[in-house]
Amino acid sequence: MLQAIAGKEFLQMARDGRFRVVTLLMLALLLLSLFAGARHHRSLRTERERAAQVQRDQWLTQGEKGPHAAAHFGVYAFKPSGSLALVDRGVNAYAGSMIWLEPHKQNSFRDAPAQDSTSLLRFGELTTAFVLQTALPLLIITLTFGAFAGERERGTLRLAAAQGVRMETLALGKALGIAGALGLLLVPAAICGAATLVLGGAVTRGSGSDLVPRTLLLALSYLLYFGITLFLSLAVSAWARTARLALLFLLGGWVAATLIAPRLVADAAKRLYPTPSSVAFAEKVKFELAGAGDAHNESDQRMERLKQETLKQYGVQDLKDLPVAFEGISLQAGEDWGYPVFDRNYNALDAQFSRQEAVCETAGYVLPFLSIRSLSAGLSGTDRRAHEHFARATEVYRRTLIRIINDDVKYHAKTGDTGYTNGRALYEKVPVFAYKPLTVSDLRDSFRMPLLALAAGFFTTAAVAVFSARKQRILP
Amino acid sequence: MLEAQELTKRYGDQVALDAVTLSVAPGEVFCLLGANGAGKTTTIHLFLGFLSPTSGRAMVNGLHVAAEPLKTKQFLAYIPEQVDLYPHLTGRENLEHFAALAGGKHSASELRSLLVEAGLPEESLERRVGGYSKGMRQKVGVAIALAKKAKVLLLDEPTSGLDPQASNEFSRTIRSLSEKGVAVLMATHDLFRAKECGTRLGIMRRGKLVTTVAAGEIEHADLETLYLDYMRS
Repeated sequence: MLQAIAGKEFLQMARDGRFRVVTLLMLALLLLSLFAGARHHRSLRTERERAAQVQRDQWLTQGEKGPHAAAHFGVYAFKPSGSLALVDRGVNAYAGSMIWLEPHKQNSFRDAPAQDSTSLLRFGELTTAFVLQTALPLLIITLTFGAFAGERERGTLRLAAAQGVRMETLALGKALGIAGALGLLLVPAAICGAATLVLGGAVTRGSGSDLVPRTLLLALSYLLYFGITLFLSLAVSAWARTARLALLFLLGGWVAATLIAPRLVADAAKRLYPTPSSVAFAEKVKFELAGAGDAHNESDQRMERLKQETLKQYGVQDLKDLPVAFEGISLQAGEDWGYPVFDRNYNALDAQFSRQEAVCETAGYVLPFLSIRSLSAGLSGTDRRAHEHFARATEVYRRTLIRIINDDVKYHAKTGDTGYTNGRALYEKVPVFAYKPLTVSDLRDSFRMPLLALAAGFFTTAAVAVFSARKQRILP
Repeated sequence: MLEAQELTKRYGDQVALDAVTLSVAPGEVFCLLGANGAGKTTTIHLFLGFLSPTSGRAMVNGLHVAAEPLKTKQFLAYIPEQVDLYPHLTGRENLEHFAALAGGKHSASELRSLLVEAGLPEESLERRVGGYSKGMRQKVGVAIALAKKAKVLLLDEPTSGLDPQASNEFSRTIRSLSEKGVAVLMATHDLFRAKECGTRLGIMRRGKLVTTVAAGEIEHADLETLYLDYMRS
């Protein structure tokens, strides 16, 4: 019987010209966003690979100079774009994609596309994630709002009820039928998406092993999200007296759940766990660094203590008698003094962001949009966690680079010899920055809550739809 | 087969049905006559379980409708004034769907035979119902009842708006079904049609079944006089 109901629902929609037009439009929108995403992804990847190569060449060919001056020449680290970034760009538009690595400072990211865009970007780019998270629920609503309310008004519901069908069976059959009709849209889109990933060059060497579970989890998350929208729409259709009322209620719910409430939750999270502005954060770090000790200031107290300790360590009376260059030791010490300051501040900032995210993830039990947004960006490797992981990797690389340079000064220069220089041989000792992104298993814990929220939402809304269908009025 | 025991339905202070007691035996066609709001449709809706009675009982084949709504529907077929079907499906597809809802499985040829038996022209069976006339939709409704092999037929103003020929065909179908032992409860305004196909006639006024009369014991003119007398009183 379930099959008969689903089949009827599917056939009815497939033959409805309005459904065909809306579905084709939505398919066009999805494909457009996919192709635009793939193009964007490809150009970013090419751009960053080229830029990384250029900057490496510049680093190696900067010429003979003092190693510390060479370190100040600095290197750029470019954030790689994961294969699924073509589906969801996450925080990439705001977080920046490259960072300048130099001594003494943990810099902020640069080149955030939002900086070069109008404020319209804040209303959402046409990404596949935007279409799936925002526009597709609208399609589901338009397909579903009349499922019960419309049939009640038309009189087909009483004819069906008189046949002795259980209303819960009717609800599940309708859900299956509508899901089948949505499959007409989603299956071709998924095939095109997979083809775009493979043929469009988004799949790179090394991305394959992790890409499959990521893609499957992403698909499961979106299916749960669509299921929630579908069941909720069915429940409202069963509950509402008229189809018009059902549509009004569902559209109102859509606006509230996808446009208003997520923003309110984000604001509430920020109020609960405030984070400083970038200027205030930079000022605080600068202030604390000033108190940590300055390697360039010989009268600094901590520097004086370092001198005494070094003399004692090497058993000499004068810095000039040291077997190593004190400049190398002091420069590294200056870095070492700064690291706890950076670590403390960045960890505290990261912890606050994590708390804010936890608020949003908890709210995801009520607002599935928040859960899918978090999962979608997380699985696409474009969420804040992924960005944070990259930022930490660049900081580790920066510290390695600086240590190599300072060690060169320490072991190859002489104290007080300001004319010491080195060249390509030293620069080549600095490895190429190679970033290994987080894998799905690394992210297991962070995906658990939003995925659970979506699963709970799916089963709860399914139960609500069945209950509403059973309790609904048969007569208008 | 069909029995109402002191069946009452109130909406607040308003009485839609007032202690109606009636029974319809297999093969009998009981026609409920009365003005709009007399309680005819309410009676049918109570038998269908679409409404819950305030008091009293609606029984189908010895089963209490309010207690066992799904079981009682196994014996019922219902044809409303407007048989509303799915316009994007053909007549055969509509029948297939509604028959499946009742748990029936029919081959395409069986479905076509049922529609033809109900009086639908063969060339229209695979046409979408969106283009059907009201009479054609009523015939699909009859085919749905035939497919269900229902023991009870509940008809709510089934001939309203049909042309005389279609009404006549419909009456013949009802008579044929009653001859096969189907119990029919039909709400109608149409005294002529009630007299023609009914075996017993009940007149309802303000929620009460005020009188019942055997169709064979009264002439058309007398029925009209009786009806008008009750409406005026």
